[in-house]
Amino acid sequence: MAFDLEKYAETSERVTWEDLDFESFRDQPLDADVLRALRYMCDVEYHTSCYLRDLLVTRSHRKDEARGFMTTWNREEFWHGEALSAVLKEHGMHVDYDELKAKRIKLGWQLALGTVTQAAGSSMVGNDFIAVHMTWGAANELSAVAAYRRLSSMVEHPALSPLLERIAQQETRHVAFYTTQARAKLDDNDRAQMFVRLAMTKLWKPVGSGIMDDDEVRHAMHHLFAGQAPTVDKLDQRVQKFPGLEDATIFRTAFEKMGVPL
Amino acid sequence: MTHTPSRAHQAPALPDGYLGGRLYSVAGETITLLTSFDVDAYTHAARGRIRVEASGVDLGGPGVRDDLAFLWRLDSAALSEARAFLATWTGNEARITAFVATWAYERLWLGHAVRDLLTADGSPLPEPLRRASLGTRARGFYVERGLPFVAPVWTSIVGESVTVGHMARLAIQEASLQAAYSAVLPRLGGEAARVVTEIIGRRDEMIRFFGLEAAARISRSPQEARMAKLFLLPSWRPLRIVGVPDRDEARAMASLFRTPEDRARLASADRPIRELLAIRPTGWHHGSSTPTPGLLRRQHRGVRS
Repeated sequence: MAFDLEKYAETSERVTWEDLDFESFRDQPLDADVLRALRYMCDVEYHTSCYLRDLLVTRSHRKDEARGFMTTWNREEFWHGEALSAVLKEHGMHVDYDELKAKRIKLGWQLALGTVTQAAGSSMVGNDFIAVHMTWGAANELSAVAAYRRLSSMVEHPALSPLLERIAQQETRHVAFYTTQARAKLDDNDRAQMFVRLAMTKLWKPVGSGIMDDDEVRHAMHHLFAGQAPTVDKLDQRVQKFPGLEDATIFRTAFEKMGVPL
Repeated sequence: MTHTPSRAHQAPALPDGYLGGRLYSVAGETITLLTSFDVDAYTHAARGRIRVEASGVDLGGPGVRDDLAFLWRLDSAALSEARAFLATWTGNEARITAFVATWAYERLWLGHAVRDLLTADGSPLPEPLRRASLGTRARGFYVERGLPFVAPVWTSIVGESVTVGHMARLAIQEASLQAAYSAVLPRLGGEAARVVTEIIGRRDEMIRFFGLEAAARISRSPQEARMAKLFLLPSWRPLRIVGVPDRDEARAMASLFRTPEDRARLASADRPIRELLAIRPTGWHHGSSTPTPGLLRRQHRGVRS
C-alpha cells in the first residue's frame, strides 16, 4: 500500500462533530463502562504529544517524510482528543488543560525517563530502530481502528457512533503510513527484523500502556475486545504480514496476559 | 479545548474515582498559566497549504535563492525545535502542547511554500557548500545525542520554570524569521513576493502566543525571570535550529540583513522580552500564580494524590 505524504498532509482535516446531535446524550447518556473506555481513548489521543516526543528523540525525526507525517498525525490525534472530550463533557467529565497536565505530572519520572529510554534504544540499535517505531506504530493504529469501530457498533448511539467511525477513518490513514514505512525498513533487512520481532513479541502492549494505569488498560481492553477472538485474530494476521513477524500473535498474547477472555 | 460548563441534564453515573468531574486534577485549583491568547480559536483556524503558481515565480539572482534556501531550512525545522522542548518539562504543559499541534502544522506548510518557490523552475533544493565547523558539529552532536538524555532529567528537577525559556526563545525566533522574510521581500516580485508576504503575515499569531506566554511567566515569578535570562544569554542566536548554526549562516545573515533598517528590524525581535526582563512587572498573568515545582516534590498543588 503506497502512501502519498503530501496528499495526506494536504487533505488532513480536523475531525468534526458540530453537525452531530449531541443533544441526544441527554436522552441517551452513555453508561459508566463506556464513559471509562471513552476517557481512556481520549487521554491516549491527547497524550500523542508524549508519543511524539519519544519518536522525536530517535533517528525517526531526521527523515523528511516521517517529520511531515508526525506533524499531521499529532494534529489529527489532538482533534480526536478534542472530539472525545466534548462527548465526556456532556456527561460532566472534564478533560481540560489542568486535567492533562495533572496526569502528566502524576506519571512523573516514568514519563520523563521514557524519553531517555527511547533515546538509548535508538543510540544502541541505530537506524534499524526506525523499523521498530514504524511497526509499533502500525500495531497501535491497527488496534485503535478496531477499538473505535468496536465501540461504535457496541453503543449504536446516534451521535457517538458516527463520531467514532470518523475517527477510525482517519486512523486508517495512519495505519497506511506506518505500514508502508515499516515494510520498507524491514524488507531484506535481517537485523531490523530481529529487533522488531524482539520488541513486538516481548515488549509490545496495547496502545495506552505506559501512559494509563494498568487497571484502565485492562478495563478498556476487556470492555472492547472480550469475546472478540475473530477481531483479535484479524489484527494479528495484519501484523503477520510484516517481514519477520509471520507467526507473531502480539494481540492475542497481550490480551491473554491481561486476562481478557477472547 | 473550552472551559464551558457541562450541559448534562440528568446526571449520568460517572466511572469510579471522579471528584467534581475530574480524575487527576482538583477543581478550582488551576495549575495552568493562562494568557489572553485564545488557543481554542487558533487551533480551529489552522492555516494549511500556501499554493504556489510555479510559472509566476522568478527568484532573480543566486543571492535571493540562497537566502530563501537558508530560511527554508530554518522554517522546515519546526519539529526539531519541538523535539527540544517536548523532551523537557514543557511537554507536560497541555495548553502549550495544544498550541504546538497546530503551530507545527502551520510551520510545515510555511516550509513547504518556500520549498515550492525554490523548486518552481524544476531545479533541486540548494545545499550549502561550506563545511560545518568543529563547534557546529559539536553542538549538532549534543542536540542529536546528548539532549534527549540530559534535558528530560534536569528540567524535570527544575519544573515548570524552565518553560519560560522555551517560550521566550520561540517568540524571538519567530519574530526573527519574520524580520528575515521582511528583509528579503523587497528583492522579490510577483508570485514569490505574494507567498513571502503570506508567510510574514501568518507569523503574527505565532509571535503573539509565544510572546504572551513568555511575558506572563517572566512577570509571574523571579525564578522564571532568571530562567528566561539564562536561556537568552548572548551566546544564543535565534536564527539557528536548536542552537546549531546553518553552514550558510554567515553569508545568509550578511545578505539578508544588508541595510540598517533590516538590521534594526532583526534587533527589535527580542526587544519586548528583553525590556520585560529589565523591568519585570509583576502580577501580569491569569490562571496558576506560581510555576509547578519539579518532580523532586512528592505532592503538587492542584494534582490529586
